[in-house]
Parts: sequence; C-alpha cells; structure tokens
Amino acid sequence: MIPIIKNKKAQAAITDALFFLTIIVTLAVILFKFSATYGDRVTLATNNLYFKEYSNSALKTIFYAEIPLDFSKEISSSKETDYLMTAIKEDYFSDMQIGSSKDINTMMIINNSDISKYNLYNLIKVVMKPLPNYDYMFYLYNTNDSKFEFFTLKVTNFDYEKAVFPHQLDINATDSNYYLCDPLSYATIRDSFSEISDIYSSSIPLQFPVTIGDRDTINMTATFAIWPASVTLTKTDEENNNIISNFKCKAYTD
Amino acid sequence: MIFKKREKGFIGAIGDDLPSLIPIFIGLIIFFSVFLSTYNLYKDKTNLYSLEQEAVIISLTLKEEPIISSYEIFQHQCDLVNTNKNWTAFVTDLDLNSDNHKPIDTSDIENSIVAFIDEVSNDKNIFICNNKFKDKVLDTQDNFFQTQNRKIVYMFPITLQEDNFAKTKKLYVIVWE
Repeated sequence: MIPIIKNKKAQAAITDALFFLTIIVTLAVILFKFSATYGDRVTLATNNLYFKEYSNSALKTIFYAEIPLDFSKEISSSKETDYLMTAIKEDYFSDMQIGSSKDINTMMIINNSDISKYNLYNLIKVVMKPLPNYDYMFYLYNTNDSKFEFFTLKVTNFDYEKAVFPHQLDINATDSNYYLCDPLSYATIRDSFSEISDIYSSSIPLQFPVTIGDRDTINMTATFAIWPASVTLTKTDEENNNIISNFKCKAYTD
Repeated sequence: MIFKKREKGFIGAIGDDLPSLIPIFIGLIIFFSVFLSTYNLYKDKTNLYSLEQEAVIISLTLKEEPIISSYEIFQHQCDLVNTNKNWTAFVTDLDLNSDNHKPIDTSDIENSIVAFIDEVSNDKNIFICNNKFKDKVLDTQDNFFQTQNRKIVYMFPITLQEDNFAKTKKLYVIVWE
C-alpha cells in the first residue's frame, strides 16, 4: 500500500499547484477589476465639482458683469454702462416685463428697448462659449406669479450616421441652436430634465422692485444649468421637437 | 530489479515535482504582473486626483469673491493659496464676440503666458500669480513649458473691476507636479 501512495506523490503535487494557480488567477481577476474601477467615483465627484463651480461662476459673472447701454458700442467706449442685473431690474420695474414685448420668446433689437434682454442673452452665450460641448438653459422664474420672465436654451444638434461596425452609429455634432422660450409651467421643465443625471445647476433668489399693483417687489429665482451636449434630452428627434414646442421656443440668431 | 521497477521515472526530490512547478511559476508571474500594473495605476490615479483636488481648492480660493475688485484683492487671494504643487493662475480677456471662442488647449495657455511676458515691461498690474513668480518674472524656460508631467487646467468665467467698469474675464488655474 505504501509504495502505491509513494508512486502517486507527483500527481498530488500537480493538483496542489493547479489549486494554487486557480487561487492566484482569482486574486488577479479581483485585483484587475479593482484597478479598472478604482477612482471612478472620485473622477465623477471631481467633474461634478468643477462643472458645478463653473455654473456658479457663470451665474456670478452674469450678475456682476457690466454692459454698455448701447447696441453699437464697445463697453470701453460706451458713455453709459451698468451692471447687467441692475439693467434687467430697471427694465422690469415699469411694466413687469423684460424687453418691449409681452412674449418672452421674442426679442427686437431694432431699437434700444430690448437692450438689457439682448445683453443678458448674449452674455450667457459668451460665458458658455469656452465649453462648446455643453448645452445650457438660464431662466428667471417669477415665484409670486409662477411664470417665467426670461428663458434661454441652447441645444446642440447631432447627425446620426451608420458606422462601419453593425449596430453602431457615428454621432457628429453639427451646429447649435439658441432659443428664447416661454414654457407653460415649471412642471414642463422638471419633467423634461428629470431623467438627466449629468446636469449641473446653480440658483439664486432675487427681488425685483415693481410699481404696478399693490406689490413692492417680485420674488424671482435665477437658475443656470449646464449638461453635456451628448446627453440627449429625448430619445428621438420627434420628441426633441416636442420639447422645443412644449417650451414654446423660438430660435434666435444674432 | 524490483527496486529499479519501483523507481521508474524517479529523478529526485525536486525533479519528481517538476510538472507542478510550472503552474506555480505561471501563477506567480500572473499575480505579480497584475499586482504591479494595479499598483502603478493606483499611484497614477492618486496623483491625478491630488492634482485635481489642489486645482479645485486653488480655484475656490482665487474666486472666493464674486468680483475681483482690484489688483490688490487678487494678489491677496493669491497669497491665501497654500499648496506644495506647482501652480499658476492668471486672468485673460473673455472676448465678448462669441464667434471668436473655441475650446481651449495647452497652446492657448502657453500663448497667453507668452503674451503676458510681452506685457510685463508695460503693464504694472498683470493678473497672474503662482508659487514661483512672486515678482512677476516669467521665463519661457520655466518648467511649466518644459515639463512633460500631467497638467490640470481649469477655467472659470469671472468678473474683474477695471478702471470704469466691471468686465467679463477668464480665470485659468493650472496645476502640475
């Protein structure tokens, strides 16, 4: 019996070695999986922090930048300048609307009546130009009357082409559309953006002085939100067009 | 003769286990390869996060005030930055003509610094600060240009109070090892 066991010795050793190899491979797989996912949350948190800070900075810039009170002049040569938000409040003071038209999705620049609205629209566009891969919206929401007083939206368009590989698409950004919108309610916005996880927003409460009626001030909320242009608000172009129509958006070009 | 039959294939204590050594060596090679690779990746990513964290902290310190009201305020905020990383931060124009904008890259930043160097002799208040050039002496031979190390570049829109009006600007924060 003993000689037989002795003769099997090598087979037992190789079985041990194969067990050892199995354990090592399992450990290696665990290590590899750890290394593949290590830091994903930190990267996400850092990106969140940066873009959140960017939207904060953008909002502060919109509030504190000065604008020339003239369509045709540079700020350095303009005789009259003012803080943008002061100009907006001044515009709102007399008739409780920003700009000359009651339709907040229209803007006329043929005279100086919409100058503050134009500067607000344009400054937001300028502040976001260094991040062309991000879409944005900015709005002033009247919380007393539950209505929007200003709403601008940027949407990047994409071309979908069939790629070399099957079941894949080449997605190319074509151009960006800039809109002035007049959404029916806050719920419309909430429903459209509720499914986007990569949205970074910043809000600030404001008080706008008014003279109409028995109220002295109107409470407003200024909100600025950005999200990657590659994140589609909707799954199809048709739904996308519905959003534009639900928001009652009108494309605006300078 | 019987003794020889029983020792058939016997080639010594180690030689007898030779086939089992092969999977053991393969296992060790696999383990140490993956371990080294994971360690390098861990070290690399940790350095990256450290840089990003410093860049965020420096940015938050520099733009603590909603508007940079003067050169002295900017320098005061610069002095509050406390980090052991290499860093520089500077303010450039944000062109109000939105058609002139494009995504930033390193060459834009280097061009901006070169433009600063050209202006050093003329401009008293150049909005730049860093951990090295306290006296505003900039040199293109500096390790910012020479280093092949990873650079973290953050950009934020800010408002800068100039002589007669507050103007929209860009604040760049660059951090590297």
